[in-house]
Amino acid sequence: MMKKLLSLLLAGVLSLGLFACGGGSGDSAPDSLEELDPNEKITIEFIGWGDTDEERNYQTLVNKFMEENPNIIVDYTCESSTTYMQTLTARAGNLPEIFYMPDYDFLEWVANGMLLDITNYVTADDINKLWPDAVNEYYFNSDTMTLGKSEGARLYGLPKDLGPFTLVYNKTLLDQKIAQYGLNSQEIYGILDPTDPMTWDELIYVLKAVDRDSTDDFYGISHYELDAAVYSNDANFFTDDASEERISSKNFYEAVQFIVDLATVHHVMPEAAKQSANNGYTRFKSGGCVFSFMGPWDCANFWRDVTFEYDILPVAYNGNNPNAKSTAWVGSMGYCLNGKLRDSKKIAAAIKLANYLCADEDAQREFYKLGQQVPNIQTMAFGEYLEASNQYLTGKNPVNRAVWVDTIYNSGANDKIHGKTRARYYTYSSSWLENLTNYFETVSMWDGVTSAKDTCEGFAEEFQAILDEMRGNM
Amino acid sequence: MQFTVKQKRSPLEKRENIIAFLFILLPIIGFCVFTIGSMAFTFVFSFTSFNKLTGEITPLKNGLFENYKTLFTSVSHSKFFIGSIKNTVILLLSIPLSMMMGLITAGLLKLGEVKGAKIFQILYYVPTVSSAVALNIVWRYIFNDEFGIINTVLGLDIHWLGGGTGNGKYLRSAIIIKNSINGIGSAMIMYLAGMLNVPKDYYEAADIDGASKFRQFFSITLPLITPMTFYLLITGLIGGLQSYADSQVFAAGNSNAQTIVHFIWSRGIGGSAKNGYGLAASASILLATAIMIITVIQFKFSDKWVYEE
Amino acid sequence: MENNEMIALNVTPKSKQVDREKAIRTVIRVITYVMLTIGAIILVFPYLWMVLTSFKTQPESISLTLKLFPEKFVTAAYSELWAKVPFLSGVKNTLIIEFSVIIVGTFVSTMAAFSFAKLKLRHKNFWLLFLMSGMMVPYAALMLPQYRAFQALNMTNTLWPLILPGFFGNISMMFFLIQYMKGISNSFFEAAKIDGASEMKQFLVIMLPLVKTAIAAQVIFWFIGIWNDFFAPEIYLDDKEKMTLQPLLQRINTDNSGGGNYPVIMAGAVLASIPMMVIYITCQKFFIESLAISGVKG
Repeated sequence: MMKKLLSLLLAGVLSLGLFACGGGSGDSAPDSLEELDPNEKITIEFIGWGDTDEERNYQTLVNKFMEENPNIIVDYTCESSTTYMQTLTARAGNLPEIFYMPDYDFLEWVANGMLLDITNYVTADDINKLWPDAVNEYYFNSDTMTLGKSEGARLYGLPKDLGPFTLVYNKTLLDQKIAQYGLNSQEIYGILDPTDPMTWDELIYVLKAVDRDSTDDFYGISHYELDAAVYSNDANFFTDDASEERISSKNFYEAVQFIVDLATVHHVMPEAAKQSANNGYTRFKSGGCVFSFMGPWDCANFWRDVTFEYDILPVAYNGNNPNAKSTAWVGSMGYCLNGKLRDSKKIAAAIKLANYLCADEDAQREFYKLGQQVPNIQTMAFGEYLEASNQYLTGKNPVNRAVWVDTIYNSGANDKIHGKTRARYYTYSSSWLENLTNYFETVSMWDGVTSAKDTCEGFAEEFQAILDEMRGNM
Repeated sequence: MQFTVKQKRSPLEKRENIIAFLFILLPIIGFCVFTIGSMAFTFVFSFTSFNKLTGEITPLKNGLFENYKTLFTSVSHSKFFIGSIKNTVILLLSIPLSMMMGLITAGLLKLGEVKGAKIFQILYYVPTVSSAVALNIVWRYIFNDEFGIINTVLGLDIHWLGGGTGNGKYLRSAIIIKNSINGIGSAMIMYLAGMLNVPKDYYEAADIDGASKFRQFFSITLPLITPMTFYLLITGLIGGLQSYADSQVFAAGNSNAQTIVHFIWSRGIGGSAKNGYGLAASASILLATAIMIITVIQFKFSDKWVYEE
Repeated sequence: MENNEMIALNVTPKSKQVDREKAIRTVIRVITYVMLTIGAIILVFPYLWMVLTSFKTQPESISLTLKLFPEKFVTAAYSELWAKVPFLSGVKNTLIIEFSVIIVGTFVSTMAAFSFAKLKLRHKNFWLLFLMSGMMVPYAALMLPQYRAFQALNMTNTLWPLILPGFFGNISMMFFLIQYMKGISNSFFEAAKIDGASEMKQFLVIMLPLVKTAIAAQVIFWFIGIWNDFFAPEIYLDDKEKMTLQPLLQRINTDNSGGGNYPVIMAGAVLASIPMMVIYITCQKFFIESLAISGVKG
C-alpha cells in the first residue's frame, strides 16, 4: 500500500513540475490593434523599479493616465532596483502586461522571445519625435541575433529615458575652498566649463587644489566611473560584437590607471574599500567631497535632501590621447510588453500606457518637473527643458542641464560631449563584468598593489575565454 | 532500525494500525511532496539545462555531468563557486570561537557561584532569538568603514565592509567576529545544561581528594561534556553550511563573502537564464550531500543522540 | 539558580584555611562578574545602538565623531518609516503565516507525535527515521523546484508558499513531543482503551491536556522562528505590501543605506525586534529550559 501511495505522490509532484515547465507561445499576436471600447474596463499590470521618489512620481503619472483613460485600470507596483530582475525572472511564465527592461538585460530577454514585437502597434509619428539613439536600442533582429535598427530588425520596446551619468560638483563647497585656499576662481571655473570638457590632467589639478590634505576624510571626488574613464580614452572592454577583448589595449589600462592614481598617487579620492556600499552618494550629499557623479534620476532626491548649490559637468577625457573625447555612459530602460500577450485589448491598453509614459508631452513635462528624467521628446529637451526661464526648473540645480542633453545627443549638439551605451548592453550575460570586477579586487589593483597594465594584461586571456564561453552559451 | 516480525494481528490491532497511520499521514505526505519530491527534482535538474525565462528543458551538450564540471572548471563560474566554498568554510571558524567563549562563560557561571546567573543567561541568549536581518543590519552599521563605532572608537582605519585590499579578509573577519559573539549564548546554555548532567558525587569525591575547582573543571567537567561539544559542533556546522543572511544582508552581496547558499540563490533564482538553474541545482546537490555525510557521521559517532525505540 | 546551590553544597569549609579560601572565592567571583558583565555589554550593545541611532537625525548617524546619545531624541525616523513603508501590513502578513501555520501545524505534529509515542503503528521505526531523514536535507536543495512549482500555481508573491508547507507539521516539534509523550504513563491510555475511547478521543481528551506546556514551549520557538524567517519570504515575496517583516526590513535597509539614512533603517530594526524581545523576556524560562532539554536529548 505504501509503495502505491508513494508512487502516486511522486507522480503528482512530477506532473506539477512538468506543468511548471510547460507553456508554449501558442498562436501569434494580432497584426494590428482595434480601437478600445470606452465602456469596457481593461486591467493591465505594470511593474517598474526605483526608490520611493520614483515610485511616487510614477504613481502620479499613472493616476493621470487613468484619469484620461477611464476604461483602463493600471495596477502599478514598484520594485527595489536590486531585486527587480530577480522578480521579473521569477515571473517569466506570468509576466505583467508592461514592465521596465533595463538596457543591459534587453538582449537576453529579447533573444529568448520574452518581449512582444510592437513594431506594428506604434506609429512613426510616435517614435520620430524621440531620441533616435534611445529608440534604436530596442530594435533587435531575431534572425541574425543582432541589436539595433537594421534591415529586418523589429521594435521590442519604447524607451523610458536616456540617462547620462555625468560629473557633478558641490558649488557651495568649491567656492568655500577657493576662498579658504585663495585659489584663482576664474581659472578654476575656466576649467569647469560645461560646454568644453576638461582633460584628466585638468581634473586632477582642480581636485588637488581643493583637497590639500591627503590624510583627512575629505576628498576631491567621491569615486570615478570606470565606464566614463574607459570611453573617454577611446577604449572599450571588447569589440562591438563582444567577440574580442580590448582590456589589454593601452587605452583601456591607461583609463583604469587614471582612476587608481586618483586614490593612490594623488590622494584626492577615497581608497577603493572606502567607496563601497554606495558611499559616494552619501559622501557627496553630506559634503565629504567636492565632485561626484549624477544622473537626471537623482534630481528628485537631491532637490529634497541637498541644501548646497551644485551643478553638472561633462566627464573628463584624456588630453594626451588625440582620439579621446569626453564620453559619459548613458543608461536606458525600455517599456516592454509581455511576449506571450495575445489579447488585442490588453496589448492596446499597454501600448497606450507605454506611449503615454514615453512620448506624451504632458507626461514628459511632469517627469522633468518631478526630477525624474530629461525629456524623451527631442524638441522638448532642446526647447523648454533648457530654457532658463522654465518656471518649473528656475532656482533648481543643476543649471547646466544642457550637459545632459548634449551627452544624450551624442555630439549632435556639441562635438566635444559624447554619450555611450554601457558595454553590458551588447552581451548576453554579465559574467564578464562580474569576473572582471572580482579580479580587480582579488589583485588589489584599486589599492595600487598591482599596476593597471599588469592587471589588465594578466587577465586578458581569461577575459577572452569568458567572452568565448558566453557566446557559446547564447 | 528493526522491522517488526510478521505475526497475526487482531482486527482491533489492525484498526489501531490504520488509525495510527492516518495520524502520521499528513507529515508523511508533506515530506514526500516538499522534501523527497523537491529533492528528486533538484537532482534531475542538475543533469539538464533549464532556461529560466522560457521554461525550456534541454539535454546538456557536453555530457551528463556538464553542470558539475562547469562549477569547477568554467572560466565564468568556477571562481565564484570555489570562492563560495572557501568563504563558507572560513566563516565556520566562528563556531569553535563561540563554543570556546560559551564554555568559558558557562564555566565562570559555575565556578564563580554567581548570583544573578539567570540574568546573564537571559542576556547572552538574546541574539539567538533575534532576527538575523536586524542583527546583520546593526552590525553592518557598527562595522562601517567610515562612521562605524568600531573604527571611530578604536581609532582604526580598517575597511571591514569594503573587500578591496586583502581579498575581503576584513569582511570575513567582521562576519566571524559578529557570529562568534552572537553564538556565545546558545553555546553557554548548552554547556550549562551539560554540566548539570555531571553526577554530583564526582565533584564530592574530588572535593574530598582536595582537588581545586579549576582542576575539577578540567578533569571532570570538561571530559564529561564532550558529547555536548560534539553536538554543538555538528549543529553549528550544519547551520553554518547553510548560511545566507550574512552574505545577503551583512556583506550586501559582496563576492568576497558569498556563501554556497548565496551562490545557489544567485544562480538559480537571480542570475542568467541559461545554465544558471542547472548550476544552482548541481551546487545544491553537492551541498546536500556534504550535509548528509556530516549528519551520518553524527549518528555514527555519538549513539547517545540516536533515537532508540 | 539550582546549579549555584549545588556548588554551594559542595563547598565544605572544614579547615583553618577558611579565610583564605573565602578570599580566593571572592576574587574569583569578582573576576567572574567583571568578565561576564563585559561580555553582556558587548552582546547587548548592538541593540542599544540600534535604539539610540533610531532616535538620531540622519547627519548625526553618519557623523565621524562618536556621540553615543543623540543630541536630541527625535522621532523623525519613525514617522518617515511609517509614511514610506507599509509596516503594518508587514506585521499583518507575518501574523497570518504565524497563526495559520502554527495552529494547523501544531495539531498535525502533535497528532503524529501521539501516534509515534503511544499507538501501535506498523513499521514505526521506519517511518520515524523516514521523517527524520528530512531534517538533514538543506532548504537550499529544495528551494529551486519548490519555487518553480509555486510559480506554476501562481502563488509567488503570495503567502501560500510560506503557509502550505507548514500545514504538514514540523518534524523537530514532532520529535520533541514524542520524547515528551513517552514519559507519560501508559496507564492513562490503557484505562481509556478499555472504556472503548477512540484513538482520537484519547489524543484530544487525555494527551493534549497533559502535554500542553510542552506544546506551548515548542509553539513559542516556532513563533519566533517564523517571525525571524528571512530566506524563504525573501525568495517568494516581491511587493512591499505583501512582504513579511524580515524581507521588508531588508528592503528598508537596501532602500536607505545608499542614502545613508541609518536612523530609518534602525527604526525598522527596532520595530521588527520589539515583539520578539517582549515574548522572549516574558517566556525566558521556556527558552532556556527547552533548549537545554533539546540539547541533552537531541
